[in-house]
Amino acid sequence: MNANASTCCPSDDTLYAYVDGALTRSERRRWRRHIEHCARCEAAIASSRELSEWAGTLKSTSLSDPHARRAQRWFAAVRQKLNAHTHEGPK
Amino acid sequence: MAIDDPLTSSTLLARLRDRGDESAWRGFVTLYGPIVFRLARRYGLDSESADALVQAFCVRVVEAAPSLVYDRRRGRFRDWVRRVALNELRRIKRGDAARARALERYRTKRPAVSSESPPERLARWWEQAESRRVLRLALERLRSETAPDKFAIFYLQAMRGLPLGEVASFYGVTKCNASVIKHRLLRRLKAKADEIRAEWSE
Repeated sequence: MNANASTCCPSDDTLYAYVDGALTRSERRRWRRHIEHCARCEAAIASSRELSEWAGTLKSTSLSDPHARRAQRWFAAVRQKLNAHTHEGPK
Repeated sequence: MAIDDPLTSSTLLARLRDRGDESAWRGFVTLYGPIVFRLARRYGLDSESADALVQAFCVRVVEAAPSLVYDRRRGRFRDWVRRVALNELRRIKRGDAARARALERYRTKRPAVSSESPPERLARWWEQAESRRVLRLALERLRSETAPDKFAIFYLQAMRGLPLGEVASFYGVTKCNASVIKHRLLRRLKAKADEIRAEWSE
């Protein structure tokens, strides 16, 4: 895992792995001291954690949309009604 | 068109004013139809009546959309949409005694948000329902643009709560890679959700 080219901070990917405890022991040691004293990295880590917590609130979201077919039917029905209104003309 | 029209032509909301813009309408029905359907079911309507409510709601919005720009100082678009949905719901409830009885039965079984609930409570419910709907649509967009394996690595960790090590080992990637995939896609998911919200914002 590399450092960010423009600064001495670790790359975003390194920070992600750091947050998840996925770095090797030596990599973790290498970055820990920096991260503990770097406001930018601290903020980036906080933002990643926040995002992970947000994802945690989505746990009940299934991949299949139970309303997908219904939405198609609604759209077709609304279009039909609107066309009918248009053809009726002004009253 | 009003001189002070603040809507940009790039937003789906602005495009709603054009009845012929089917993709904008399809987007609207896909986002709000399920919310109104759930609202109707929550108020005790059966599936068929809830279907009818969604259609009535959509027709009402289509009809009102061209003049929407003149009314928007009265509130946000999403608040207006919620009001339209509630008005249609009240209209259906008023006109059908059988449904009112069904509603009573429903209330005694499961006290929930009722038509007499404080508006804030309903607004909060609507807000949450809209949020969930936006996220689901964002998730679908993300899925359609992402390689299946990568999406699964993200989904199983972030949304199913499976341990990083387990997912990484199942898909034959390092823990580090699995973690990076999860975080990158999480950011893209958030960006997509923001994008959908922006499409429907003034």
